[in-house]
Parts: sequence; C-alpha cells; structure tokens
Amino acid sequence: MVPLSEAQTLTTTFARAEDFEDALKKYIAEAQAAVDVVGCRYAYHSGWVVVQSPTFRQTAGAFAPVDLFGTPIERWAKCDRTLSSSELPETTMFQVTGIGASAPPFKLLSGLLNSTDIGLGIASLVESKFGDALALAQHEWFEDGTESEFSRALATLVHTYGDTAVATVESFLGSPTVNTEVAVEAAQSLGEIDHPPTYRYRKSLLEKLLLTSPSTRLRHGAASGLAAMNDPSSLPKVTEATNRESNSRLRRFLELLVDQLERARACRSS
Amino acid sequence: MTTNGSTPPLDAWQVESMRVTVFPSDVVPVEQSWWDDTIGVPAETVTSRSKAGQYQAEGDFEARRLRLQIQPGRIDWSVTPIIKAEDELTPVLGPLPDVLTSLSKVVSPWLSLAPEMKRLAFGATLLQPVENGPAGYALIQKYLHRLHPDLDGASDFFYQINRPRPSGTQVPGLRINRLMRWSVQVAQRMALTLGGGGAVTRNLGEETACRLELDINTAPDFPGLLPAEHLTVILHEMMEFGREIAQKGDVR
Repeated sequence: MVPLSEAQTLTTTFARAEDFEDALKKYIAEAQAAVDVVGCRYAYHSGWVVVQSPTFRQTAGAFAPVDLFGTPIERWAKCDRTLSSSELPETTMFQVTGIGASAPPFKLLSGLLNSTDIGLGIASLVESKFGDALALAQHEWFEDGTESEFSRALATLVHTYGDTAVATVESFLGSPTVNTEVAVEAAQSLGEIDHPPTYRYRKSLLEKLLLTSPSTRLRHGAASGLAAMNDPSSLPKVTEATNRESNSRLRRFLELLVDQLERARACRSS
Repeated sequence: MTTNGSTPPLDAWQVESMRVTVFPSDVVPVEQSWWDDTIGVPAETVTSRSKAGQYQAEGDFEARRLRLQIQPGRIDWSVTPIIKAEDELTPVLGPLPDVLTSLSKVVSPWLSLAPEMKRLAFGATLLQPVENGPAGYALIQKYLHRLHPDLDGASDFFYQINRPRPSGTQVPGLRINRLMRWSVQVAQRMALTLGGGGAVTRNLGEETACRLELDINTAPDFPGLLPAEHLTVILHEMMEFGREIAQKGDVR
C-alpha cells in the first residue's frame, strides 16, 4: 500500500477486508520505524479511512482516539469525522471501496454476522442484496472472458457475507424459474472467486450442479467454475459426470477438464 | 430450583421455541435418513425439494412438535408447541430445563451423524408471564444488573447484546457468541368467525410476558471445521450458557 500524499492518487485493490487491514498495519509499522513516535488515529466515514500521527501536529480532538485494531465494531463505528487531504497534507487517507467498481464501501456487520436467527440474521439481508444484483443482471450482456457487473457483485457478497451468500446462490440455482444465462454466469463466478473460507461450499455446490442440473448450459457453467478452481479433489465427481454426460460437446469439455485436473494432481504430487 | 438473588427460578421461564442449528461446510444432499435414525419412527410429514436443497420432516416428540429442516447452508432441529387448546393464549413448550433435556435427547446423538460443519448454534425464545407491562419492565431490570434505564411510563423497550466468551472445551481458539435480547411482549388472541354476515372477531384476552431470545453460537471467524469429537460438548456448553443467562441475566 502506498499512502496518498500531495496530489498523488493511487488505487490498490484488496480481495478481502483483512488484506486491507494487514496492509494498513504494515504501513503504520513502517511509519513508526521512520519517525520514532507515531500515534495513530483514524476514522471511517463515507468510505474513507484516515490514519494520522500526532507528530503531524493534528489539532487535538479532531478525532476521537480509537484503538486502531480493536474489534470491528469499535474500529468502524466510533469515529464520525474526516478531514480533507488538502487541509492536512500530512494526513494519509485511504479510500475503501467494494471489489466491484459500482459496489458500495465495505461495511463490517459484526452483529449481523454473529446472529444465526433466520429472521434477524444476515440471510434475509443477503437475499435482498442478491435480488438487487439479479435484477441488474437481467439487463446485462455476458461475454466469455469479460468480468461482468453481476460477477463482481457476487464476489463482493461472498467476500462480505461468506457462506450465507453461497447459500443464497444455491437457493437461486435450485429455483424452478431461474434465468439460465444468469445462473451460468453465477456458476462460473463461484469457481473464480478467491475466498478460501467459502471454498469447500462453492466447490461442492458446483459438483452438485454438474451432476444434477437438467440444463446442459448450467452443467457447462458448473464445469467452467470447477476448471477455474483446478482442484484435483473434484476428479471423481467430474469423471462421474463425464461418464453420464449425454451431450457430446459438453462431454468433450469434461474430458478436457479431467485431463486438466489429472495434470494438476500430477504437478502437486511431484 | 435455586435462585440468583431476586431473579425467579429457572423453571419460571416457559419455552416458546427452541432450535439447534448446524452450518455445514459442504452442500448437504437432502436424501438423509437422519430422522428415522435419530427418532426411531418415521416422521409424520416429509416435504422434500431436492433440486432446491430443501427438506423438512415433522412429527410429535414428547408432546411437542419436532422439526428437522435442511436448507441451503443450514440444518435446523427445532421444537414448537402443538396448538390445540382454544383457551391457551400463548402456546408454550414447557419449563426451560424440561425442553432443554428433550431437545438434547434428539440432537446429541444426531451430532455423530451430522455432516462436517463450520458453525453450531443453540437458539431459544423464552417467556415469563407477568401481570402487566410495568411489572414486565420491573422484572427485566432485575436481569440487566448494571443497566438502569428509566422505563417509568415507557413502552417498546428492548435490549440486545452479545457477551462472547472463550469456549471452555478443548477446542483451541473457539469463541462462543452469547447473543441475548430482552423485551416485554403483550400477546393477544383473537377468534375470527366467518359467516354470512361477514367476519366477526372476538377478543379472547391478552397476556403479558418478559421475553428473552437467546442465540448462542460458535463465532463465524473460527478457522476450519468444528472438530467432530467435541460437538456434543460444545452443544452442552452452549445450552449451559443459555441456562446461565436465563437464570442470572446479562452477566459477562
């Protein structure tokens, strides 16, 4: 991470909020090493994180001092004031946005994430957000090799809400009224998202889809997702799907996928 | 039953509903024999939508309605009241200790059959009848200890907090969320009669109660899977946390 200063503007994308936090810690550690004493204060407001040092002669009381790496709620909720960099060029500002260009800034919803109540928990919230993404996806044209707005929104949901987001996609894919185009895009995206905590769930969902979906295109989308994951542990399921596949073109694709996974297995075992 | 200071005994809490929830790490096939294997008799009703990943089995168990529900991302065992008596205002399952024992009889053995999981949760909604709203607020304040809200003439008060604790089990790094929500509810029962002259409603009375909603669960940030050999101990620890909150109130 490079801090913003003067007129310099840099954009760095982080896959996860934790990655941003790690980068921020590293930056502050370096700053502490450089100037000996650095007290850190920060605020989160309208997508901005501000880190500053008292050696920069910041007016006392501009921010409520907060333990920088305290609990998420404390970290994000206690401060409500920001300053512009033009007034205080010493102040380092980081803009935190979601993964998708049009996505809103990260919001850490610790309370909701802790709740397991189906009514009060995050399930209904995620369903609502996923519904919004689906509504926009109806008007989107999906192209191979091009990241869609929908897939970016899905990645944001998975990174923010974890398995609950994947569960919402599972419900969507099982719906009798599913839009096949969007479902294929969702399946492919599930394989491409880099989010280790949801990896097992996403992989098993794609394997299930490959083996049970009546839609050839959706099975193809699931196979594409598994190809992106490139996990040899999927070999038994992909081989089974290949043997039972009646569509010749998809069967050929699956045979190629089996080859790919066998090569991946050989590479990992060597 | 012992009491803690001025709070009522534990069995003063009547259970409106109770559940144990599992969050599996993989997609769970709905073709499961869990009900038969655990209860020993077939369910009275079974609804299955395998493509959607949904399954529900229901039946009576120890005079309560037991339900096993599989949905994408979660599996719930829950008990709810059997509603039959017209003069009952708020159907309940019985005193907290009895219902805990009953649900534990089902879920503890099932955990050895359960799929690998990332999270485990125990939830319950408890009611303690009181004479009226002010009496309800007075009782709730006994459970809230350090909190002294001015509730004189107030309404619509609720208090929700999470008091996480490290697990006392042998699972390193496991943290248990202890979410609780305190409020006072007024339940009203209406009879609706449909006839030639239209619908006629009749008020059968109302009942006020302190309401405690518990959501005790393993923290979502626990890395990896919950160890299968410790699941029963973790569940019993969470149930014990629930008993403690119901008995002592909002304690750290």
